[in-house]
Amino acid sequence: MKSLRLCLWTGWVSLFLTCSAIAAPPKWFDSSHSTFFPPSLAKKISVHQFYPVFWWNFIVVDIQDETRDWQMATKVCDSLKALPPETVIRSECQQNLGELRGVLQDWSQDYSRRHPRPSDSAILEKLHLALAKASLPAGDRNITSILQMDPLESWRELRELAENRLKISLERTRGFFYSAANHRIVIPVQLAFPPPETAKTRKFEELILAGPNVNLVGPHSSTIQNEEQIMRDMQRVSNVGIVVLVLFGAILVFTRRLRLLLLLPPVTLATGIGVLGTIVIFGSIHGLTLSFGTGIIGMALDYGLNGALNSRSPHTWKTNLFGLLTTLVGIFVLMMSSIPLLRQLMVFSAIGLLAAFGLFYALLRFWPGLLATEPLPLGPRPRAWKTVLTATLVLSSAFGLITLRPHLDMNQFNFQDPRTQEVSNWFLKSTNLKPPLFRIHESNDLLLSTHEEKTWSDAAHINFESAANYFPATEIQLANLKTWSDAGCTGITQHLSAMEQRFFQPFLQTQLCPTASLQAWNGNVPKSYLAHIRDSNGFGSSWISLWFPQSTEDEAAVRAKYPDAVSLRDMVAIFPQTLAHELSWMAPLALLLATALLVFYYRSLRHTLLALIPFFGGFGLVTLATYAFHFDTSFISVIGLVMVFGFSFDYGIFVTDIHVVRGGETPNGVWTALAFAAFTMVAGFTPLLFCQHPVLIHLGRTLFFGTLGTYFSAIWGIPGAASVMSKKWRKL
Amino acid sequence: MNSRKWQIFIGLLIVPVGFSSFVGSARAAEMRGSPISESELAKQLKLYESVSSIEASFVQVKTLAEMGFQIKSEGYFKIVRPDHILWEVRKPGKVRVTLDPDQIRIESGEGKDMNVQTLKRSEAPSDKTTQNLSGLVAWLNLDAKVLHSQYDVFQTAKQTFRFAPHDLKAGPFRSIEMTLADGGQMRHLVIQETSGDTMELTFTHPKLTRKSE
Repeated sequence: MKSLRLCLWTGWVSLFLTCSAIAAPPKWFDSSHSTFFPPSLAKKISVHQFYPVFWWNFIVVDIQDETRDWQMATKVCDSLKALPPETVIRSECQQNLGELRGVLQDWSQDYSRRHPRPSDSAILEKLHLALAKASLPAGDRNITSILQMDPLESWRELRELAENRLKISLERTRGFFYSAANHRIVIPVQLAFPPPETAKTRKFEELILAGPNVNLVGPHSSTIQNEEQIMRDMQRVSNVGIVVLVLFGAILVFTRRLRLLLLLPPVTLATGIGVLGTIVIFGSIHGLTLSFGTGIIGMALDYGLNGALNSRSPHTWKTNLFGLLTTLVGIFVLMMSSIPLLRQLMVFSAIGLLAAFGLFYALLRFWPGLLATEPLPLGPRPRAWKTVLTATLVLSSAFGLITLRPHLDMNQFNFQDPRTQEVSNWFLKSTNLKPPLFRIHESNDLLLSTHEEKTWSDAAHINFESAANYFPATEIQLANLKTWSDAGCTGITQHLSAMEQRFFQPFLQTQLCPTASLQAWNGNVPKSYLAHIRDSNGFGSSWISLWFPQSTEDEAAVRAKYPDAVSLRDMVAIFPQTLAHELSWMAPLALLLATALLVFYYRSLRHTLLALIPFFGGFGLVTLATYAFHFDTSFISVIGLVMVFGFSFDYGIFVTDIHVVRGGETPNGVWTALAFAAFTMVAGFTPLLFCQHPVLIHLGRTLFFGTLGTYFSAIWGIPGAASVMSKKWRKL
Repeated sequence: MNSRKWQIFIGLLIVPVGFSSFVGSARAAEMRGSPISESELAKQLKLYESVSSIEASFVQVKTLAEMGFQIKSEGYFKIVRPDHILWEVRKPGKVRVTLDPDQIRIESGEGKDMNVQTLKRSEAPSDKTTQNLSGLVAWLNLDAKVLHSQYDVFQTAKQTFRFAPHDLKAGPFRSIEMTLADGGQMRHLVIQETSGDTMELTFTHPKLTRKSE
């Protein structure tokens, strides 16, 4: 009774903790992009997320019906203007000066930092002009406010800077960028949140995309399309997964091996231990670590199957141990990566694999009756054609090692439906927009460094955007401010009536006669008109400089002058490039160390070579499939191969040990374990073949063909090769 | 209180309320005026029927309702029918707006400080000032047929007419009230903007050029 109470109490506590963990914001869960990059580059990649200058998207309206669709474009534009600043920072359609009021407040106040004070007569003339303009039928209170706060018309400068920033080679018609040749309107829109905030983008799309001929292209739309496709794929994977699970259950029922399902809870528990261990070490765990790492930990099932189906053999756990060690060797080599994500993935996998191994060992040692299962009467029937087939796969792997190179262009992972793809291609071609190059600066030397960049860019006639476009150097600001404070304001105010003074109060208070003396701006105070180039995550300590090259020569010139200037495309490519570079030495090293371990284990080159056959067979089938079906290979395919590496050594050791250490034992248990292990691998990753998103397809293909190749090389190749080698060696 | 006193009390209450309602409705009717037909309007604007251009000087008082602020200005306008317009503010500063079918030209200031802004009409359909000015100038064309198609027209006094747009959202003005001189020339204009601001224009030195001239 007491123990029952204890169980119930423990159950309630566990339930409470689980619910709290679900309800609480998961601080331990990381989904940032910075983990893809070495720390020195992590800050640069955050540009996409934190600098609003990268939050521009483009609404493309196809004009099919002249009247209806122009009205629709106007409606879209009106809807954009009606959206709050938390949703849209700026939209470039049917513009009205009044919209700039918010930004102009800051901008006009800084006039005295940018310019020396004009003469009294010049200021008075401007004030009278502003009054004359205010006398026109403005119809918009914002315009009157602008005339009150900015009679010196500094808005003209700001508009010129904005126009320089957004250079689109399309004509303006009826207030829109329009391509007469293609009957398409383009409305640039700068959203007020970063692309990963897809819920907001979805809401925005619902409000704006008024018909099938209205499309959104840009980082936000791309993120949402990719996310939606992955969700659709996941749904498909779930559906196929259920079918596979039912099939697997049916096989276990049919073969009366339902007990093998008990192997799953230890793997789940080991995954949990892996999560906890990773959080303890890193402080959080990345979503990708969880998804890929769980697959690697799932490979521990091989040891459970081998243990459960060969429970009577005294060699089982030695075999398992060396299987685990070869996998761990690969994992430890990959831990040397400079990519934090890869390091975390490997730590998670190592903890999970060790935990699963320990759990299986403990369960089978202390409760052997719980998991021990009779093997099926399986056994390979060596045939010459099977040996030849495996040899072909191994030879293909040599061909693959020489010829297969993954494509590192990340664009292949940008999923777009055919319609969006067509619109995007047209847009990029017709607007002739080239990806800007950028550098990041801290506040402390912001103006000094950006002015140096500006001077160079102006001389090279390359369009440039940075804080230097908006503020002169500190000493010039100070000199300008001095002219204002020296002249004072009485020279102006004495010529203004009380009414006029009231009208121009915003200008008089902030520019002409400020109550406190103004300091030079040096990047320490946020400015609304500079929000697009300032780190928006609230710290405000970093600023971005951008170059907009018009040609490849311009781009080369910027790169030559500032080698650390990069484009977003460069940044995105850094991850696969770094990975490819690291794998070029890590993969051979891992293979070499694992082979050395095998040599140590078997103390025989022949047996070592036998144990390597599954890996090369798996890689060989991947190579053949790639060439036969014209598959793309990417760094995701490489990650898939790393997983193939892990279990192929297990298979190799399991089968080789039949010949080496098990002597007269019945090997049915090993063949059954291999069959179930391979089946679960194939069954687990087959659903990915039904996906449309390139990332999932690439992983699915590699693991599907890799597993098949590994399995058949293990059950056909090793016995066949062993027999050939024995004959040959016997002859020798 | 007995019933007699009640009757007196109710009577005292009803009489002023009834009187004020009567006066109020009479005043509203006076403000609203009586609607006039297109032909009647054409008759009133006969003077402008066959002119090719209209020009006049004006004195304007613009009241910014929200601020309780008045801007006094002086200027000149010229309309060359059907669609060339010059609107020039001469005081307190010089701003000259020229509207053509294709473009809008805004000159401000004088001499070397003069600032010229030229916009294609197709590029600036939403510029409020331009829209409003275009609306005003379209009105100043004084084409009875066009005006009647866009406005409800009421006569509020002998020579005074009030124009209320059919669609308040479509135009820049809530209402325009025009007073003609005895000779039929436009003398006074009160424009209520949709923003709530009011413009009062008094025209002097009108000059009409006949089509044959």
